[in-house]
Amino acid sequence: MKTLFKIAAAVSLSASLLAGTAMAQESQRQPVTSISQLLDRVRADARDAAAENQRRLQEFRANRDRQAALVAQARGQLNTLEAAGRANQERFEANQERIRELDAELRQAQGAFGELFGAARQKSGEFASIIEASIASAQAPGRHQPLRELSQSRTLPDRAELDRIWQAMISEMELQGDVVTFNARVSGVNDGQPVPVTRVGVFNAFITQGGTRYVLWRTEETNPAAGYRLVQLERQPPGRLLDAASNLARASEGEIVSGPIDPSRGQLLNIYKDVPNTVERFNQGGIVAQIILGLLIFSAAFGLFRLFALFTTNSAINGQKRRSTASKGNPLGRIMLAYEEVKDRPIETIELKLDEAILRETPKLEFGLNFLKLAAAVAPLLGLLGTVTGMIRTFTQITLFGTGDPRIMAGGISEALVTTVMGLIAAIPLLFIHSFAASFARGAQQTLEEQAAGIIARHAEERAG
Amino acid sequence: MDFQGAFSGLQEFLERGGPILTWIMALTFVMWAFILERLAYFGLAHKGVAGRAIREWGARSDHSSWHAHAIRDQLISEVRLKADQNVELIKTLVALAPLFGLLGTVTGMVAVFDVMAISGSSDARGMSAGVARATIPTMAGMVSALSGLIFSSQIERMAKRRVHELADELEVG
Repeated sequence: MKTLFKIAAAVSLSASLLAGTAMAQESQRQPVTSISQLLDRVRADARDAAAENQRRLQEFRANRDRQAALVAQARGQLNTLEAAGRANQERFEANQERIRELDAELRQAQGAFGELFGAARQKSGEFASIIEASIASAQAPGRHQPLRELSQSRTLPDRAELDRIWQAMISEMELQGDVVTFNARVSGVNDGQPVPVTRVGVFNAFITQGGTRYVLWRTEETNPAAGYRLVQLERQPPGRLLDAASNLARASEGEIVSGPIDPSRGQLLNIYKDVPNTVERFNQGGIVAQIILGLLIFSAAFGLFRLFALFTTNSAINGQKRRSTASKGNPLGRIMLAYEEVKDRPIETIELKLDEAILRETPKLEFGLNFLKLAAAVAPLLGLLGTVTGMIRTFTQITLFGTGDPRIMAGGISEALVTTVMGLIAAIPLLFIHSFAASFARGAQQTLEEQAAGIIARHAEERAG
Repeated sequence: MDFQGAFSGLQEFLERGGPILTWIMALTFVMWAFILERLAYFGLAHKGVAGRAIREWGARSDHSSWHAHAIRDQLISEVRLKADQNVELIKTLVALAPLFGLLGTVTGMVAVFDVMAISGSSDARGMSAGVARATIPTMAGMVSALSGLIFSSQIERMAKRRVHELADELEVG
């Protein structure tokens, strides 16, 4: 009440100030010419102001009384509403009690069935998740919906709904044994239009349109709410698994073929995205692997070239053995020509000349063999070098980061192993090529050194008769 | 053991040993084919080849001239070429067998480390497949090399001795 009064006073004060200004304006209009006039004017103003204040005070009082009446009215209303609220609260509690009673009654009525319904809800929830994640749902999307609704409903399931659980279970079991082809959308394939998908039980599925590829039925990890869909495997497994899949797709009805089954429902196939392919594997080997590959390519090309040359030389020598006319095109022929030049001289001269001719031929046969042998020996050594540099890298990592995570060390270990493999892979064919080339060269050499003289002697005797 | 059981056992062994084991098996087959070929040659054909050389030498009246010596050398050399055939190849194959075994060891170790890198753990059961791939080819390579080594040195000695015997038979003078 005191505050109200204060506000009223403040309002009256400001009102009087406004009035003062108005009077000042008036006084400007009627200029005061004497002190007595001013006195009169002041007195008259004071009277006006007092009358005005009195009027306003009365107005405020009337207002205050009206407000008090309103407050009393609101209080009355509040009291009635509170009474109504209390009544409602009581009714609510009574109803709660009634619900509890009814629940208890229901539980009693359910008896042992209460647990059954709980179990049915839980199982249908679990089984809905299993069915949703099963690749057979790609064939018939939304199979899990009725079970999901059953697991979330508050009412007691009826007989038909309970039946639905075991029926779904049995149909899922049946689907596990199927190998079927159906049309479905696979994301990123055929512009999202349905393509034929072959499903092996509920274990894995693949498409054969435009090359055999395995597909997975999964949700996006970043956005699981988007639901399950068919996606291609990021990296396809090795060829024999794909071959088995396309065999299966091509097989006619009732034919028995060996096909792929991933018992982990796609998880094992998914691991292939972590397994490096040949190129990545090679890159793990670093610069040493590149050096080994370069050595292998160069030496193998050179070795095959030598092998071919030695083979043709050998067959030319074998041809020359049977013919008595010497040709310049092969080593044996050239030796025979050398003999022809000196055949009338003494034996010592002939022998010297023959030895000289043989000596001229042999280096040509042996050309490059030592290099091949060296390359075959160096390749595993380079592999060993890579092993050691890889191990040095591994131990540097261990010094820096400790042994906590095996992945940190994997880089160095990969380098070590890949270079070793590369060294062996390079050494094996090079050894083979060298072995073949060397045996060709030795055969030709023996023929020249040990048989040239004999062949010449034979032809000479034949001509002599 | 019946054939079916033996075959499935072999198949399981090859499966556990990985692709390199198949290579070692092929290598061993080829090596033994060559060894048996050599044994068959010395057992059956060598006598005929040597006998032909001896008859040709015996048919000659002249055993002392330069021509005769050259022809004798040629006869011996031809027999030696026949006797030495494939011996070097067998020795190469024997040397290759442990190399293949080593290759198997390393590829097996790569498989072990792949499992470690993918699973991020050192689960012994997961790695056992890789370890089998590492050890079985090593063993197979060793066995193959040892089995071939004995015969390859025997065959080499046999070839040398037979050629020597022939040289003794072809008398000069």
